[in-house]
Amino acid sequence: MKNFELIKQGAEAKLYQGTYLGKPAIAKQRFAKKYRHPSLDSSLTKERITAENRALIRCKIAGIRTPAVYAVNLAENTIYMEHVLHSKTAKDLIEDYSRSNDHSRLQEFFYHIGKTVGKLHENNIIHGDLTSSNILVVSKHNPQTLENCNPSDLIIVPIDFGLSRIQSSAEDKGVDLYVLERALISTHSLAEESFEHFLSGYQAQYTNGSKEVLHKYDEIKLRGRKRVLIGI
Amino acid sequence: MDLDPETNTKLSIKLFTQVKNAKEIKEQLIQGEFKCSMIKPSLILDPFQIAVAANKALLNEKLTTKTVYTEILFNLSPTKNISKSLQTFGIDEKDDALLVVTLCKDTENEEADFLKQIDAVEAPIEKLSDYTDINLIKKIYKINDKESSVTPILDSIVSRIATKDFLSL
Ligand SMILES: Nc1ncnc2c1ncn2[C@@H]1O[C@H](COP(=O)(O)OP(=O)(O)OP(=O)(O)O)[C@@H](O)[C@H]1O
Ligand SMILES: [Mg+2]
Repeated sequence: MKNFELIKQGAEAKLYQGTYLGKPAIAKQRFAKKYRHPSLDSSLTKERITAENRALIRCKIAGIRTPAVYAVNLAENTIYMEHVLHSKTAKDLIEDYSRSNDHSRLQEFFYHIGKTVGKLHENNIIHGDLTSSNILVVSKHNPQTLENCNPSDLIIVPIDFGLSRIQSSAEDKGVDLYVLERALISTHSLAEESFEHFLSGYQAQYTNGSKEVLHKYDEIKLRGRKRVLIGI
Repeated sequence: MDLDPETNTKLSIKLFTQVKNAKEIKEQLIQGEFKCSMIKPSLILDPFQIAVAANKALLNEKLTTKTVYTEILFNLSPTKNISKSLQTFGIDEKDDALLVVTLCKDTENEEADFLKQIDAVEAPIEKLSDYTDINLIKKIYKINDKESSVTPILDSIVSRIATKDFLSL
């Protein structure tokens, strides 16, 4: 990986930024975990890379924007993908809105995230690790400016599909929603009051099946709460 | 055009138009006389599409086809059927335009001699768009309007090429 610069050291992957085949690119390299058995580790790594590639393509087919893939190097466990320029994580944007106390944009943004997740689930794509840092946003019309952009002018770009799978079960989709809700609430102070807007976006998009998923989601939430009450 | 630095290889793509002897050329190609891939320009949207396919051919430890040049054609194709891939992306006897793709080591600088045998007019690569058949491309790569309304077609194409080994199409 020549002329790439480390930008993020995650739990399972290192992210580098550079130029690949002449394009601005991100290299996502998964690395070995010391506590895992080497052969188990290499098959897990391969599974993650496979899952990520499949979901990136499946999203595109479903009309969801994801980074383009330029190359996969299995010898170095690396995916070279499009660097989504002028993007921000949903995490940072939510914090921007929260700081300026912009509740209406925050709610609208949650609604749009709900629509995108609804589209994922409509197409049986379970993300597996939905958080606000695994969602990027770019501006639809003026790619340079995200400042003061209305949520309806954003393109929502989900990323980090290493734990994803293709699955139609309402239970799995419910878990996906629950994971996102927990992640949002633990990261953002205003998330709890805005999550209903996420859910209405989700339902608006996923007309055929969201009811069953939301039912499961309520059950999962209840189970979660009981677990907290009895302290496990 | 540069590929992954690890490959130590340069890629060259030339566009030939008004080709008069495609039949002969194809015969010699099949006999292995030419060290190159010959590709139908109608199925190529941008040289970058070929760069991604060639890069993948060089990075893979094992080739699926016989040579790196047939591998480029195979990689370009969304199907895993080898002969169908070569047929679709390779040239026909009747073609009057073709792309010639050659690879050479960074350190070398050989001008492919066999190019003289192509009875044609070389055109600047910018002319490629005159030959691209976007509808045919969308059909072959199965890109529907839902996809192309949000994702640039070139991104859709190269992503399919780069991830071909992982897709169960
Ligand atoms: N294609 C991309 N374009 C722009 N920024 C990106 C891109 N991919 C990742 N990033 C940035 O890098 C961060 C981490 O990326 P990603 O979520 O894929 O890896 P990770 O979280 O380390 O993976 P893991 O779940 O294995 O720990 C993202 O939150 C985002 O800020
Ligand atoms: Mg992440």
